[in-house]
Amino acid sequence: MTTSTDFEWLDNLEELRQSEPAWVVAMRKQALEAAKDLPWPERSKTPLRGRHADLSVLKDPLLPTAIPASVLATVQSDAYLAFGNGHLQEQALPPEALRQGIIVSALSRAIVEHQNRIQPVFGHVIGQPASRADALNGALWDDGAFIYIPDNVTLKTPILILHYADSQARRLIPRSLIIMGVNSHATIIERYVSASSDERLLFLGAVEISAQDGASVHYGSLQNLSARSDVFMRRQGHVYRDARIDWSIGEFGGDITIASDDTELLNPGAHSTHTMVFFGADKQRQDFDTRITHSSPHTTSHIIAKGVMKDKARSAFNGVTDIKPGAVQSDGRQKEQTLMLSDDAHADAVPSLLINENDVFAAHSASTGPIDKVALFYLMARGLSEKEAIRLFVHGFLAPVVDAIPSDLLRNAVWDSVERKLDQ
Amino acid sequence: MSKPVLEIKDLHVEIDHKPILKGVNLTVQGGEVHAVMGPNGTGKTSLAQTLMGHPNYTVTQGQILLDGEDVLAMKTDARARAGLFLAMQYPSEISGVTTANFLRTAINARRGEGNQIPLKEFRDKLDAAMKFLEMDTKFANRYLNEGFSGGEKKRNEILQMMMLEPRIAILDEIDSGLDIDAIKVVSKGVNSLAGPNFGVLLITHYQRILSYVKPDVVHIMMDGRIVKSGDYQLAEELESKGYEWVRTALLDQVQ
Ligand SMILES: Nc1ncnc2c1ncn2[C@@H]1O[C@H](COP(=O)(O)OP(=O)(O)O)[C@@H](O)[C@H]1O
Ligand SMILES: [Mg+2]
Repeated sequence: MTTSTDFEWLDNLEELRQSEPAWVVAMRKQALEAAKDLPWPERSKTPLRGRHADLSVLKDPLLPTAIPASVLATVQSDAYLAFGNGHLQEQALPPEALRQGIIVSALSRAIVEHQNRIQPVFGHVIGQPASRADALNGALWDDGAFIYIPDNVTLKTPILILHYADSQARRLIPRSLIIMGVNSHATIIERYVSASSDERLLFLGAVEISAQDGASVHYGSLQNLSARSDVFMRRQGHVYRDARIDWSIGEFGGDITIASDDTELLNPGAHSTHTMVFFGADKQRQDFDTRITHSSPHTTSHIIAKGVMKDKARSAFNGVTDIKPGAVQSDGRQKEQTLMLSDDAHADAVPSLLINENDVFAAHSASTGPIDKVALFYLMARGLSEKEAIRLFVHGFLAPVVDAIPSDLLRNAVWDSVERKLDQ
Repeated sequence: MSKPVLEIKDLHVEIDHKPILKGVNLTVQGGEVHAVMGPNGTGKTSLAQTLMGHPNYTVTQGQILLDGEDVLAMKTDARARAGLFLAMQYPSEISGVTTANFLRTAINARRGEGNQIPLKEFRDKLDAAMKFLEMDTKFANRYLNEGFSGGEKKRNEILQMMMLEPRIAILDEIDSGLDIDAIKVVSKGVNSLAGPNFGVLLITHYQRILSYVKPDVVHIMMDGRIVKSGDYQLAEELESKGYEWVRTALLDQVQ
């Protein structure tokens, strides 16, 4: 078990972060204090067995690295940010976006340049850290994106953000903050990629989104970290009056992945759809807690998850639709489906509805099962090899969800990730 | 390609150690239509599924040869690529995969790398086949068999057969649940492939379809064996006398 003394060497945060404003350093120190006492995320289906006791990886400097051209090409576009080992390497933003007041910047710069915009929101969407992983991210985040879309501005071009870790990196701690002004609209896609390596990578990610009245954001995330990564991901959104956050999350990489996604529908008319596609192979463990909280009347939500497990992979998906007292006329739905391609694979999907109000609609369904052997025979009887038959079947299983992803770019990248998992 | 010859020799098959087929002998050649008739539970579907390599059926004795090649040594997909086609009694529903996408994948699997069917050629062929079978072209973009009625599924099996142009087609109760108009359409599809390089093993419970797809040979199957073979008149005799006749008159004779 890790004891608080393991953190003592981190207490010189001020020295490490001397270029940052005092309020940021104070937040980091507070988070560090919390990290000392908090446990790692506890998941009944995914025991961590002390795998993360080695926190010395948090100490070593993360050196800037060149992002391989093939990886960079996946985000290079009119509007993007690319980080290598937590250092901003490349970026672009169309001139008209600048004119409209859109900010797409490294968070490390934005805390200095846009303090007035950031300070009221940063750290407040996530709030108190719920686990050591959250707290360590709060204390030690390297860098990430700050995106601000001003009131009444619509950005058509998707904003792409890449977080890349090279084979030397033993940790990556990205954090992003997205503020959607009143009646603003945008698509933002974050990708996480690491070079394959024999060394373990400790990944602690966090994303905060605030969607103000009437705003809508399609937030996509695609995780393709190496097979030796311990992935802890925390995503949290606040949705105000008549606003919406549509999450499209693809989880493919990592050895262990523990993700906590939390969306709060704070005012009437708020909506969130949370779509997750995941695929585990080999001995991967994936554990997802996805929660949407209705704390206001006339709020609507939909949690959709599709997962495929092959080899000896295991997954657990826990969806929670939490309808608070007074959230009358709210509508919360969930649908989870998982498919197992081998006898040794295992998937659990548990939808929960926590309802403290009578005048609401809520529904859920979950199914998990092995691939249909008779269907495979049917496909093979037409000349498809077993591999092609499985591919077609898996495509068919995922298509209703993947093909509904509103961004071409993300949709294609998710299909690519599926292909690679099938071939793995 | 040359005239196909499918030989089934002394075929014994079990499911879960229960003997189902008990020595089936049958040869189908290109240019021939063989009807296999028999009461329910007699092993007709088991024969069809075994020919295609369904994993639940275990061959304990006998041989299946296509042009002299050992079919039992081939996996299901290799059998299909060698020219066998099975129209299934209960086709699977495959969600998320359109009929068109599936057929193109299947055609390309048979043609092999570097010889893929051009999209236009595929589209034209599919449109023509659907028109011929009086199918709404919307079916091509619907998920394979999902939510199809029994009759639509049967028609879809024949569509696949026409697109894949097999050398030997095994049709397992392609007529069941169809009204007479639909039987005519399905029969038209089968007859469209007729020729010296196409043989048919037509499994049916009823004589009805045989007015449209004329069999050269009619076999009666009972209790896992072919108990009598004859020409078209055997089917008529069976229709008038019923399966009880076969049971009493023929089965005792064999045993
Ligand atoms: N999956 C199965 N498991 C066990 N027995 C089966 C299975 N499928 C068929 N059978 C048995 O095999 C026999 C032959 O069935 P089948 O080949 O479907 O006959 P038919 O097509 O002539 O109606 C029947 O006794 C049936 O109960
Ligand atoms: Mg049958």
